[in-house]
Amino acid sequence: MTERRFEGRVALVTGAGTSGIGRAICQRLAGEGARVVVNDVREEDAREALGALPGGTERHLAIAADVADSTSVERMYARVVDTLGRIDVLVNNAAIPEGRPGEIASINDRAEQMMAEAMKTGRSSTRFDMFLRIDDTSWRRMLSVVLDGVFFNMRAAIPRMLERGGGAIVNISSGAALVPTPSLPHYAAAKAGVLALTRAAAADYGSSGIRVNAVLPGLIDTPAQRAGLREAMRAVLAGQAPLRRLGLSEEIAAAVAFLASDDASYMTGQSVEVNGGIH
Amino acid sequence: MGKLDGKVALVTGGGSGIGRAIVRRFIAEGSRVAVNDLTAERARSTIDELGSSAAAAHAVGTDVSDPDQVRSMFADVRERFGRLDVLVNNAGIGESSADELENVNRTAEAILADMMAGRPPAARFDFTRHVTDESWQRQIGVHLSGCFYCTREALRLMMPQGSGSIVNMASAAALAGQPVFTHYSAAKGGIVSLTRAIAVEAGPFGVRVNAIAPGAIDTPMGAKLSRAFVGALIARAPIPRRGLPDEVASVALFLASDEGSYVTGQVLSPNGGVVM
Repeated sequence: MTERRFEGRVALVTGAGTSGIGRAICQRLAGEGARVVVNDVREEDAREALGALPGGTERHLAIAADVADSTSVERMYARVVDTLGRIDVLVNNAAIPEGRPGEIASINDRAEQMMAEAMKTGRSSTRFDMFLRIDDTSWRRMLSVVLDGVFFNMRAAIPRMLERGGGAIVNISSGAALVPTPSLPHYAAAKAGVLALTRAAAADYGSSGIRVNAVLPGLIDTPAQRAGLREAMRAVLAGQAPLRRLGLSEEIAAAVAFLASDDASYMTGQSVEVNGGIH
Repeated sequence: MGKLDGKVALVTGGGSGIGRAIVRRFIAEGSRVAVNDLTAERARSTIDELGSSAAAAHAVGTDVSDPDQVRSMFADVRERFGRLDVLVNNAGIGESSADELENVNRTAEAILADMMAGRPPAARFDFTRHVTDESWQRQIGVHLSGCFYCTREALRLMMPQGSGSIVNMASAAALAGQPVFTHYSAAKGGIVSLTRAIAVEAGPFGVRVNAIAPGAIDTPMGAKLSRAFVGALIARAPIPRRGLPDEVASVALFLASDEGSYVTGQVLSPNGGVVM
């Protein structure tokens, strides 16, 4: 890749320490000339991801901040501008797959039961029953990381982008925001909220030079996906996409880079689905 | 190194506007391009403008609404290049007749005059009642049938190849209601449906199909619309200006190239935020 669309620009990617997609986005932006701020909750995760970037600590910055904590987010942006002087691109990638430990495992159990029943009788009467099983703590945790986190980062980034005459924000939403997702209603609701934030900010800040778009990944082959979704289920889901495979983190990164770059200079408020045609 | 190195692309309606910008961008990214327009002269005008960089470009004059002509165009492409990696179904028309255009422009100006004077607008577009059979058939013929005929021929090359990317030019008018050019909106809406259906069918063959739904773009086609009409379109746009053909070409490049390798069945809309 010889193209360098982000030469001279500073990009911040949240949740980029451990996430496969976040790391791929950092690689792509750094590879195209950006100085990257790698954010994650844990300092060592952010540092480790930074270590893999071309230019390393000479060019890039690792900052630990909990996106669900507005004070910690605000402090992060102050440091970004102090150290790198500006912020041009924000990628809101930080997310969690479950509201409390054990949720994913129990969802997998039910999904396997459903698949077994469906293969035997053509239909299944098993339910996920997440509306009965998501407790207050799980609901709030999901909303605070996935939705509050995006809002806090946008609130901190926008004034600093306005100071320099513009910028680009790319929010990682999810196909779950658009299609019925009975296994993860809290995640789906938070990701749909991300789309509403995307459109609202796009409408208000477009004339001030800030573009805001969303990428909606389908099923992507990441370490978290492999850990969360059992093999049989992944094979079934991969086969359902017209392209008949799971996506790669790099394919999400390519869409993010497109939207964050001047190649998408007339696109704002848009939702770009990268899902192999599953929706 | 370009994003389309070694690829062969066919761009319909490549003689002007968005099509010309796409040809220019694709050539800059290393593609060999067959440039189609209604006449070979129009197609050649794009190639001539690009000069020596377009050495590998080839002009074809074809009316895409005629399935026989489309078949010979693809025979020509196959003979010359031996393969096809990218098809951009871009050929399109604005109004079907000068009368239609004039009525729309006149009404738009009357509405704008009322609004500037602080009056609720009295003029109405009253478009559809005056659409002739010929006008309707021409819109459907060039946009929807043209897209179908070219796609069908392209799949005959791409499916056996096991790869390919088709990019269809729809319109933001297919996504949100507009009180004028209702035949155009319907034809472009058909292109969106065609895109989704063929994406699902062609995906297992390794062929991706996507659409672009541009908003108000600064092209020769758009230049025929009155300032009042275009002004109303972009007045409330978050990005308060018309888009440039290059800003559509960059979207076409993303979808046509491996940058969009997991994107299929989608509609990307560079519209300045008018439709979200």
